[in-house]
Amino acid sequence: MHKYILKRILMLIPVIFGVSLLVFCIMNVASGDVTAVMGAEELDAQQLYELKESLGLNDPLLVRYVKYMWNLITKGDLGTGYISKEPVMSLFLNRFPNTLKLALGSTLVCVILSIPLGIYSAVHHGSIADNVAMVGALLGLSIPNFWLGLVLIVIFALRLGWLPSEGAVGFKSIILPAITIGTGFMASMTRVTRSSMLDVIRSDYLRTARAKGAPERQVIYKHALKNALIPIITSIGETFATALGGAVVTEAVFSWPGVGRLIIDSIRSRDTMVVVGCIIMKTIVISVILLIVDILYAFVDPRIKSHYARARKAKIDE
Amino acid sequence: MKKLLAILLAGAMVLSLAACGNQNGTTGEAETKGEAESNTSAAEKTYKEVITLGYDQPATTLDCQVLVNSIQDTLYMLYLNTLVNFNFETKQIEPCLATEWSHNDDSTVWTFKLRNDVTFSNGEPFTADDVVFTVERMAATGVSGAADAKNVEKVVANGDYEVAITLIQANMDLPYRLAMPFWGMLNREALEKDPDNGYKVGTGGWTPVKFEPGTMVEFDKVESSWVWKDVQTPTKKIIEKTMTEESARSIAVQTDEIQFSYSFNFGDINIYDADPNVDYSIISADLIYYLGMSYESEAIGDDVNLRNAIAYAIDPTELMDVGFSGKGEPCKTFWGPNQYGIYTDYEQQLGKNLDLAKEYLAKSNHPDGLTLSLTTVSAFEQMAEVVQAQLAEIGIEIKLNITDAPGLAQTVADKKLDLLLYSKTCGVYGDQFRDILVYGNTANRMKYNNEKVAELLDKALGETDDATRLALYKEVQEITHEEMPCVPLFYGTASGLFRKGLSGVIFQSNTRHNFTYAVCEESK
Repeated sequence: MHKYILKRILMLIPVIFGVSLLVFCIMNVASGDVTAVMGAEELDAQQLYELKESLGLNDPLLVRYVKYMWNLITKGDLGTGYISKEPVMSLFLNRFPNTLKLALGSTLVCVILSIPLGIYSAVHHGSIADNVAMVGALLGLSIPNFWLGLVLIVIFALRLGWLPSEGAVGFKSIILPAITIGTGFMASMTRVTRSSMLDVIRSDYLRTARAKGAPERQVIYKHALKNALIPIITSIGETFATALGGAVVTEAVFSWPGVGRLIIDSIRSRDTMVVVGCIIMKTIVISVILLIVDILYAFVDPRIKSHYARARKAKIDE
Repeated sequence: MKKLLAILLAGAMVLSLAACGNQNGTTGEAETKGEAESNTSAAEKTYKEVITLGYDQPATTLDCQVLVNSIQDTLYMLYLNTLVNFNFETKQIEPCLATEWSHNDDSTVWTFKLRNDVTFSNGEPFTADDVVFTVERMAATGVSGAADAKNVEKVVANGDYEVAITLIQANMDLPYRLAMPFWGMLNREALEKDPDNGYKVGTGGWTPVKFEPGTMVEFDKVESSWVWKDVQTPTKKIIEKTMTEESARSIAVQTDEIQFSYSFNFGDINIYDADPNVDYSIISADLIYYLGMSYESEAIGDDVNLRNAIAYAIDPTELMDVGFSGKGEPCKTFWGPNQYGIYTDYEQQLGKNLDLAKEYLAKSNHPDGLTLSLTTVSAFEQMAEVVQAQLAEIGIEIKLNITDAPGLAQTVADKKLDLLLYSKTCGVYGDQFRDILVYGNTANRMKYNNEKVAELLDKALGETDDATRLALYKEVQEITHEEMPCVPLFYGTASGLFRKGLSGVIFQSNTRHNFTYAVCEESK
């Protein structure tokens, strides 16, 4: 297991190189540079050249990339924002807790709504209720986030005055954006839960459990759900990773100061340092989360745990 | 009790400062919604200690010498002061950190006498050495005022409270330039001690205490600032938040989560008319929308007939309707509405005239029409589609290139620009259009190159006689009216949504909105 974890961590190195090179190239392909948004309108050609020189923008792409990676490897320096002059790491760390909170909140909303809905659909497979539940889940996916967000703001902030319409202060502020994002993820997780439950619901061991007189609730929640959990956990992990990846539209609607908005603002202003630095950090975080999900499998599925145990035993025997 | 009385008196003073409409000072023609002051006596009023402003753009730095735009300007004005101020009501330059100023005969040497009772937020006294440092720093590393700094031959402190600025080229507009927020005075000691943060130290009535780039800036009141010597307000904190979504920002004013929203959707105006908790203000702004035509374009080049054909095929009113619900004012010349030297008395006035447009096209190098690209930013996409439809009427096919500001700069650099739909902030001083009319400047994306125009602008800049100076600017406008590097379309508007009870805000026709004296009554 340890070897597996180490291997996955080592795999991060080429991933970081690949991602950073890719983002550097894409930012280079995107036309223009940061000087266009710096109010350099009044500068003459010489002054503009000097400004670009001072920002290192006159260097070829490869030189800029090598310099950036050298600083990253030798000093752990993710660079400095061209305009803000703030270290990218500090910009990222300022925003990341908000992104994490929103990702957790929206995943929680998704789990709370999707898993019961998926189980209900599976248990009532083919019924009208099943179809209604599936359509409901699809609706969550189909409704655009900006529209749902604004509707929620109008109802819960403007009309009822129960919840704040903006900001990231306190528990209340997370509710509306989490619902907005969470409902968007519902369709996928509900379907995964439903199909996974359908796979196990007619298994022999469930028939046996029923024959032994186990109550239906116990059959479904203890025996069926437990065995259907692996794909659901994968789905939760993916949902959480996607939510961490950024929900830019929702962040904009609710003025939520997350990393997604930081990256989008930086792309607009061609602040390559911030874009590359934040994406590297996100790559690391998401890779770690996916690794944690993989490790979790072992705790949920005894077959995986025993596979590692057998491998260890075989090694000792040798 | 004394404190309460002082606050109430101060509130009353600030309210008395407020001018028209919604008890906030506005300049230029304004369309406002705002009721008269209620009958509630001052003693019954309570005021918010925290005022929150919502802006559409992120504030990314607090270094005034690095970046300039509407949000940045508003922030700089809270914690920095300039040597002089421009009063939009009287259109006059007024004292600020400088009490008086003068120039020599040819306006190459300017002397400023400074106040001797000003301290920075770090407690350091403001002296002439800080002015010297500010100018030198701008010249060395600044962006926003680099063009001004480049023209400074030397800046010398004559004692603690007098400074002399010697210019390479005479400049009658210098006080107007020095009134720009990016010329806020910085403290030498603070920046030498802490180059990464020292620029946050200013002489203004507020000081930034928390800054999350792109998200928010929080200001605390500097009670000891000279700004509060004659006026006091009950506001203790001002917070600026980046709220990019326009509808959500406006709703936040309605729910009282923020007290001001910069710009709002004119389509929602009936909602705000019906809401007793909000006021709004739409003012004519020093902002010109124009259609530029590149001299580097193979198709257009210096074909003056084609330029005129395009100019007279465009109906700016339709563009205003589509882009800004009809808010704005068609312009008659390529010059700012409040800019010194504006001239509009042309024989052939601008505006849609299809017969004339077709006549010009027939005389051009492309009598049978042609295909051109039109580059613009995404915010102007709908207006670009209108231009596309209007030019189709005379046989000019337009291919749209929708991009953003950096993308636009790249299109220019790649020499792929034919037409450009863009806007320019235009202030009040005469030399405002130098950046767009003189070859080699970044804003001159059309690559307009007329040495005569550059020469006239140079002469006008140093001319001390008013009549001669006005004649020079008239000549510049006549040339550009004839050669048409740009079709001036219309003057834009600035708009703000205010929480009822917010007053003391100076909401100006340019981007410099001043919240220093803002107070806001608590909602009942």
